[in-house]
Amino acid sequence: MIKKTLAGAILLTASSASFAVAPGGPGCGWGNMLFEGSSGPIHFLATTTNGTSGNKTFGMTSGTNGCSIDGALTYGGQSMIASIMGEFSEDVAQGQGEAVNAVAVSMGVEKADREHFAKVMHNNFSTLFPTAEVTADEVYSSMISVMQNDDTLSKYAS
Amino acid sequence: MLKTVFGIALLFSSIANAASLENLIQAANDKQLGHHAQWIAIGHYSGFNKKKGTANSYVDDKAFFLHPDGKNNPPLELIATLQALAQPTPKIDKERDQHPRCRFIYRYKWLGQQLDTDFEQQFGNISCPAYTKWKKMVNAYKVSLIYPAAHLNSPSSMYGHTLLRLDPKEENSDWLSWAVNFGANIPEGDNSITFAYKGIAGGYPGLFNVMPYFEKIQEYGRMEDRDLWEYQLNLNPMETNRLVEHLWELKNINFAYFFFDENCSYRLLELLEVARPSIELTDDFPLFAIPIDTVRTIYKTGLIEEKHYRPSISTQLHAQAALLNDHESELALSLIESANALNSTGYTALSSDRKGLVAQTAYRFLRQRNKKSQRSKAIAQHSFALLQAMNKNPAKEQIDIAKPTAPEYAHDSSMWGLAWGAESNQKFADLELRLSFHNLTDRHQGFLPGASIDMGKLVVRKYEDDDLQLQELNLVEIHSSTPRDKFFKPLSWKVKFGAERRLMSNKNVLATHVTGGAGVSYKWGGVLAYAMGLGRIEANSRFSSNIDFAGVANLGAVHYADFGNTQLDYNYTDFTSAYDRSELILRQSITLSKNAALRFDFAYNDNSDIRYKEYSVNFRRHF
Repeated sequence: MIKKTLAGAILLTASSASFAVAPGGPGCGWGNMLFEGSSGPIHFLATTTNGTSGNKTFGMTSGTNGCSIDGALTYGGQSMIASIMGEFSEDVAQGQGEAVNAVAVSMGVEKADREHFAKVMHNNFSTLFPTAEVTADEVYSSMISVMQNDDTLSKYAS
Repeated sequence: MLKTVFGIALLFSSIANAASLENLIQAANDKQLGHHAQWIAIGHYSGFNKKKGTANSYVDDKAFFLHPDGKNNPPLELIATLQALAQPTPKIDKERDQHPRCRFIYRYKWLGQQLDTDFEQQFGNISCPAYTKWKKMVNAYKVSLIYPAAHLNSPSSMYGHTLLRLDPKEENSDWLSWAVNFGANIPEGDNSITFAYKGIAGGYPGLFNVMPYFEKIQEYGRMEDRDLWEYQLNLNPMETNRLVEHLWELKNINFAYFFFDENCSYRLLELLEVARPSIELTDDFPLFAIPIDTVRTIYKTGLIEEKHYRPSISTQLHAQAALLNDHESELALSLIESANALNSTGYTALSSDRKGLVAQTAYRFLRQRNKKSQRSKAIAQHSFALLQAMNKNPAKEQIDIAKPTAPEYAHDSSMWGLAWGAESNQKFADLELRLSFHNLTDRHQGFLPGASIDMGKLVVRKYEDDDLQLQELNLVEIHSSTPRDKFFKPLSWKVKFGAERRLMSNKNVLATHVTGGAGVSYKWGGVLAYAMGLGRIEANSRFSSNIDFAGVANLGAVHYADFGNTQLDYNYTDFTSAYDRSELILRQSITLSKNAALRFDFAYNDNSDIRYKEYSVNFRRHF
C-alpha cells in the first residue's frame, strides 16, 4: 500500500517535473491556448511596401522576457510549440506535415524515426489535444509522456 | 645546412614577435588595404573615390565605425580598426563580447588574412561567448534566397520582397532554419501616411533581423496569402561562413531605409557580395531595386542552384476546394457555419476519405477566416470539433498544386512602347515609358491573374500636323480583380491618379484626376470579368467649375491566353454637371517574346459634347 502511494507520488512528481522543465522556463508562451489569435494587426503599408514592423530580434532575445534560450523547443526565449500550436495540432490530426516534423527535429528525433513520431502523435491526438483550451505546456508534457511510453521514442524524451 | 634552416626559422619568429601595431599599419598602408574592394564592401561604402580616399557608407550608425570619420573615409576607418583590434583582451569575461575582435568578427578575420598575422598570438587570446553561441545556433551551412510572391488583392505586393535563409548541413526541417531579413524598424502607432512618407524619404532605420523561418512561413504563407519561392544558392561553406560573420557585425546596426532603392533587396545583394567577392550585383540598381529584378540579377551570376515552391495556405485551400464536388462543397460550407453539420446525414454518409477532405477544407477555411481576430471560445470549440473530425478520418488524397510560372520568368519590370494610330481621323504617334510594372494585357506568366499595377507611366503624343504634347501621366494605376467563388468573397478594387488628355468639343484638354472604387469579379475558365462602382474627381479647364465630381460604372472582362490577352472595358462617367462620358475600349495583345508584344487598341467615345473613335497599333517592349 505504502509502496503504491510512493510509486504514485513519484509518478506525480515525474509528470510535474516534466512540466517544470519546459524549456525556456515559464512565461515564454507556454501558457498560450490552442487557436490563440495573431499577435496583432500587421501594418498595411508595412506589408505591401516590403518593410516589416521590425524589431531587433537577432535570433536571441535573452533577457527581454526572462526566458532562457537553451534547450530544444525554444527559440529566442519562446516556446516553439506555443508559436506553431495551430499547425502542429493540424499535422497531428492528419498524421503528417512540416510542423510535426519540425517538432520532431527540435526534440532530436533521428530522421529514420520521424515518420514514426508523426504516427505516434497522430494515434495520441486526444491525449495531446484533449480540449480546445489545452495550453502549450500541457501539450508539451503530454507529448513527453507519450514519447516515454513508446519503445522507439523514449530515448528522445529522457 | 641545418644551421641555415634553424637560422631562417629564428629570423621568422623574431620578425613575428617584433611585428607591432605600427608594423601592421605600415603593412596595411603598403598594401593599400583601405582601398581594397572587400574593405569597401564590408563598410557598405558607395561612391568610393580612390584619389581622395572618400566614400559614403549606407550605414547610419556610429556604433559600426571605429573612426569618427569612418562613415566617409574607408582608409582611416581601416587604421582605426587595426588599432581597435589590437586592444588588449579584457580580463572580465563579460566585457569580451564587446571587444572589437568579437564585435567585428569578419573585419578581424579578413584583416588577419590580408596581413598574414595572428592577432591573438600577438595581443592575447580571446573567446567570444555570445558570438560562439549565436553561430552554433544559426548553424549555417547553405544559404537560400527567399522571394515571397504577390499576394491576392494587393497588387502593390507585386514588387515583392526578398530575404535570406540560413540552412544547416543536414536536411532537417526548413521550418527551423533561420531567416535573415532586412526591414524598416517601424515604431508602433505610426499611421500609414507617416509610414509612406518616411519610407520614401528615409526616415526609418533599417535593421537586419534573424528569426526562425517558420515565422516567415506564418507571416507570408498564412497571414498574407503569399506563396514563397525558395532559391537554393551555391555559396560554399566558406562563403556562407563569411556571410554569417559579417551578419554578426550588423547586429543592431542601423541603415537608413528607403523603399525604392536602399531596401531589403539591395542590402541582401551587398551581403552576397561580401560572401563572394568576385561577384558584382549592386551596380545593376543605381535608382531603384525592385526585388524580383534582384532575383534575376542573382540568377544571371549563376548563384542559384535550384528552386522550391511553397504554396500559401490560401493557394492550398483553393486547390483543395477544387477537389470537392458540389454536394461536398455545400457540406463544407455548412461545416464552416456550424460543427453540428458533422452529424448531418449528408456528412455521415460520406466515405471516410471524403469526410476527412471535407472536414479539412472547412477547418482550414475557418482558421483562415479568423486568422486576424482575437481568440474566441466559440470559434475555438468549432475549430476543435473539425480538428477531431479530421483526426478520425485523415484525408488520404494528396492535394496536387499546380506550380505557377516562377516569377523570374515574368516579363521585365520597366517598359517602353511606340504606337501609331488615328483619333477621329487625325493621325498620331505615341511614345510611352513606364517605370513599372504590369497591366492586364501584358504577358501574364509569372504574375497573378487579375492583378495590375502601373507606376510612373508617361505617354507623349505627336499629331500629324501639331506639336508634341503630353498625352498621359499616371503616377499610379492599380486594378485588382480577385474572383469570387463559393468559398471566397473578396472585393475587387481599382485606383488611378494622374493626368490624361480628353477630347472635348474638338478641344484637346489635359484633365487631372483621381478615380477609385470597388466591386466584384468572377472567373469562368480563362475569362475574368469585373464590375465596379467608382468615384472620380477631375480638374478640367473646360468645366465651368474647373473641377467636378463623377460617379463611374465600370464593367469589363479579360481573356487570358498564351498568344495574348484580350480586354474589353466599358466606363460610364456621369458628372454632377450635365456632362457625361461613355467609353468602350477593346485591346488585343499578341505576345512576341517574353519581353515584347504587339497590341491593337480600339476605343469608342460617346460623350455629351462629342463622339469619336480611336485606333492604334502598339509595339511594347519590357526592359
